[in-house]
Amino acid sequence: MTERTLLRAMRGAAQTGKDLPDRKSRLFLIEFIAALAVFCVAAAVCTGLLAVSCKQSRSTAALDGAAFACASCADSFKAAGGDAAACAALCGGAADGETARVWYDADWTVCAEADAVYTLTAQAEGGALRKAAICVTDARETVLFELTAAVYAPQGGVR
Amino acid sequence: MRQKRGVVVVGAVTIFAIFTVLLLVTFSALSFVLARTDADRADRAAQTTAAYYAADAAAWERVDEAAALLADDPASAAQRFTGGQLVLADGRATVTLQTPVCDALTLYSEVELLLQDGYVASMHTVRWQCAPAQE
Repeated sequence: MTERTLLRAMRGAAQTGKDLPDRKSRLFLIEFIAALAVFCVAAAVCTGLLAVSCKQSRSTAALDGAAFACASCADSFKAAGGDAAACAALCGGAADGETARVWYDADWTVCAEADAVYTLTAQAEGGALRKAAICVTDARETVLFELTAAVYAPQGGVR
Repeated sequence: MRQKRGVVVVGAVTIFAIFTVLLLVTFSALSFVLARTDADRADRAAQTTAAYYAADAAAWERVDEAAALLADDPASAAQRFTGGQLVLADGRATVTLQTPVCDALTLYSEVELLLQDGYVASMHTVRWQCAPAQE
């Protein structure tokens, strides 16, 4: 078959509408590719948004846990009359002189130093007015939360 | 003989894609907004906690200051004590303080100091309450 004959046959087919399924398939393919492109763009944007949300939720949970641990340690420090060792014992940690340390795992449960994800440090100082600088740091030594607790403990004791 | 042709539905893919993208966008936006709201709430709670303990420490500092003034000269301690009220009666000194925690909250505290030989032998916390500042 010559080229001219082939072209004539195609023109004839186009005129009679015999290539309609081909056109529909082509249209379907274009539509499919366009939909896929839009879906990919939306999925990329939404995945980014979800990743940001997930990261923020994790940091929020860490801040909540750190604030709760600090407040709990501050109240223990007050209950212990400003004594770092007694405060550490109440919190389930260990004391070294005027410094109390408590270690927490990822779920904010008190754990051993080796398994710790978060570390609470309470540095006590003072005489009758005892003060403690309490802070919680994560594994990268980033301070998550800090506060200062104080308790007044005259020599006669607190009634 | 007529041949059966495969049915190609143009538009179904677009409808499905629109529905899927709509779901994706809705849920990711919802999760983002919730995460932001939760983060804001946690920040505010953390700030309030830190502010409360700062006010608490400041109030105890004032009590310590009152005790030092009483040890120095009990007769003039009430006049020299500023930022609160110091009342001496029957060997007891009552320190009344109002320490602001934040815009809306104030720490109201009242502490009785029992004096022996000019020194604070013991103390009794009468009031240590965080309440709205309008009180």
